Amino acid sequence: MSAESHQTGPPDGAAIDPAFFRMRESKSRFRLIGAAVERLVITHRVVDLCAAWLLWRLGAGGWAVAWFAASTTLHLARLVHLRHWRRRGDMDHERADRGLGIYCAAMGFMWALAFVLAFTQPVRPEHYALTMLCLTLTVDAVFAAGWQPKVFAGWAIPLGLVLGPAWVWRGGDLGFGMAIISVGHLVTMTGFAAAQSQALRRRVGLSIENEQLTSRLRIERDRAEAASHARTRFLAAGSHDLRQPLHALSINAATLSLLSKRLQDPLLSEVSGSIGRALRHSNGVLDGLLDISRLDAGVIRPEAQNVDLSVLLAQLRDELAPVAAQRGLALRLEVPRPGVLTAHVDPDLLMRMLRHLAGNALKFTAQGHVVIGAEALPAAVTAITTPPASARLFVDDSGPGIPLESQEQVFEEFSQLGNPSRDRSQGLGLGLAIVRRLSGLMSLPLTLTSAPGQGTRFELRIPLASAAQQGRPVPAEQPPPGVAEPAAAPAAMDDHRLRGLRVLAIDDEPDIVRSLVGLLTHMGSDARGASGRDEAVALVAGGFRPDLIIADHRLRGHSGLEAISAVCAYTGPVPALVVTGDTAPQTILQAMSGGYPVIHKPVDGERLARALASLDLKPGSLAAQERVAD
Amino acid sequence: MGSCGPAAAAVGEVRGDAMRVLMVDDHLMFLQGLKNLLGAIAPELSLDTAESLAKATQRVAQVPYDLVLLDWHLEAIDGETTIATLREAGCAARIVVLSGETDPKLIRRAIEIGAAGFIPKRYSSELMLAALDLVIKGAVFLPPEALKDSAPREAAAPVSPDRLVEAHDRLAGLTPRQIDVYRAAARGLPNKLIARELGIAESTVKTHLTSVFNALGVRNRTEAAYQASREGIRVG
Repeated sequence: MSAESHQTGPPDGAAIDPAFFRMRESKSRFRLIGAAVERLVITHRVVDLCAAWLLWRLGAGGWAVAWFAASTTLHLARLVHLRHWRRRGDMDHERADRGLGIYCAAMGFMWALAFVLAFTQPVRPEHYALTMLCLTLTVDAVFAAGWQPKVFAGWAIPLGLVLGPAWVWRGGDLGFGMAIISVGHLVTMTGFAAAQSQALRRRVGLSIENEQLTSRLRIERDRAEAASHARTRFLAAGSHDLRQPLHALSINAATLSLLSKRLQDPLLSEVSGSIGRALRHSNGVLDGLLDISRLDAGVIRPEAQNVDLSVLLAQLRDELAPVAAQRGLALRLEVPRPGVLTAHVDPDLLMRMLRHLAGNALKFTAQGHVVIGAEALPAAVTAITTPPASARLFVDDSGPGIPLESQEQVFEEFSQLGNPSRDRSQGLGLGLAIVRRLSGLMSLPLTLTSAPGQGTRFELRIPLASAAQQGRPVPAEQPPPGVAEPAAAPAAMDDHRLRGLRVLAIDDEPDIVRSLVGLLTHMGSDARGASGRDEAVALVAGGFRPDLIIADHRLRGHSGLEAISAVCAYTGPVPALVVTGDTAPQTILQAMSGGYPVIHKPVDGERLARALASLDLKPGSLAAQERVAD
Repeated sequence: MGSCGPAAAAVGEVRGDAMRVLMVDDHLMFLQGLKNLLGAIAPELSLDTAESLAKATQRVAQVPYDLVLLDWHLEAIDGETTIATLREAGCAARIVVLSGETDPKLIRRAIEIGAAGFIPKRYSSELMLAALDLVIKGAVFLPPEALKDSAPREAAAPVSPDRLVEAHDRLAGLTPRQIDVYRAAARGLPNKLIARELGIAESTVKTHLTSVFNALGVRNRTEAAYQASREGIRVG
């Protein structure tokens, strides 16, 4: 039986470095052997004890005791060896394997020695018992050492060499049979060990391949994401630059239209009208592209607030009523009375989705009706709780319908059904692409039900505000709670929040630091300025303990966040604000990454007050607290 | 928050003369087009242009404008900064923002920081004409889609110029001084500038504003501006 079975490498052996493969293989093997040896440790001691007892009965005397002591020592040493290598991350697998082989061979020799001792005596029942114990142990050894045929051979070969001849020599006819059974058993078990080791290799190969596949996929995905980002940037830049001349053109078109009206010149009116239409169209394209690029870039973040769906849909109906009237369509609103369905959602983004959906319905329906509506989902559909947890918004039309095979396609950019000539007066086919992105962004599941000739229904599942949120429905024109409290803004300069607080202002522009410290002092705080991280730390090291840090995001050589954390490393956590003059989303996102509120330059009382409203500010000293109280 | 232009104090005196308009945009083609259009709509206007914030700041410090038409993005500077800078320079004019963006959140923000109207640049000719006309007549123009409210029907179309309401009609029962304060606030002026313009103490301004807001049923100047836009109240 060859111990070298390298021909069964991993399935995709060529791609895997052999040294790496061996390392992984021996790691798995050690894990498996370790588990088996630990599980079998008691059984082995009992078997060895029986063996020693049998040897004793055969008159081996002190030899039996010495044999048991030696075998126990070997077992313990192997346990220690396994534990040692399993615990080490930087396992030298060749040394570890060699070690295992030596232990196995040593145990084989121990048992061979036991038989040499036993067969100095004529055959008695003890010899049969001893042989049976040894063959039982061989079965265990397949699990405990058999993951590598080389190692298993260290056990099987010495035993075979002694057991076979010994029985032939001492046992007569029966002994001949015993020799054949023993040696046959050892050979069979070696075969099992070889098969088992091959299975292990295959498993290791597969798991490595799996990992490689995963990492390849990850690389592919990163590459695709990078490409998508590049495309997004390109789109954003392109549509922004195109927009400028279009605006100039629009304003001139407005002048032209005014003049054409005054001059009452029909040709001029027609020219100005068609310029206007062309412009509206170009603007529509750009708006769509820009919306998509922004959604893809992830710069649009939903800000949920409580919204009365009935009111929102009524607004949509009012917006679209003139369009519907123009197209001769009935536009119906099916909503419960206001106050019944309050959803927790970003109203602006939701309205944008609904505008696209309803706008499409009006555009593609030649006659009949368009219905927009909302209803609470029956409790059974959402949960077993009594108050409905979600509602559905729907836009129905009696239009031509969308065949099933095209229902996925309509959500793709620039796809338009039944418009192969790409007659752009029907729109661009960006609306539903935007709707799909918004639906994903706001986690509002969107479904489309339609069949040719049966009209189309778009349905949006929307979470209703929980009882806690429902307490105070916010009128739609209010900014979302927590972002700004307008009522507080006019009174900003008398803001009491800063009274008695120690404030550390960090900016690398001396003028800005000076005016910021001036403003903060004016607002009642004890303010100190620093030009950067080092100066800030020096101030803190000198005993100044700020209750609030205001840091410019872009300091010379480092960021405001670094300056803040350098100070906090000294003082423990301190509430902080980051100030930025940048408008690039990337930079703003970076400034926001510290989790501190970000305010835009120039810093004035109002902005400061707004940002401070979100912070938990406490003056450090009692004296300061008293000053706040008055 | 320091320097004040000499312009602020003089605003009262030039009233009655031609309305002074400053257009600020970093895009020259647009600026020229806007100038032509305003000239066509109302030839009596006195029109100036500035293509950068620095130029605009310089101009508002020298001339007491009645109206500033301001591009929201000037180069890399956003409207928050621009408006704050112009106000710092003592600009007491109505500032109306023009922008290619029409995000209702952006519009709300512009009003919050003291704009007295918002016109999307991408408006079609008719809407652009109507919006500018309203602004020139002293109304607060906001895109109808930004005027969200429980009574949307009224907001579905811009108020027509001949339905404009004078502030003193809407605020019957309040003193002329309170109406002055209201108009200044609805134009987006910070309290300090209102106080300076009307020659009263800042605390008085606040007291007046509280009574005016109560009378109008609004909570703050942003709501007041939205209301002025909805109801067509003249503030300029």
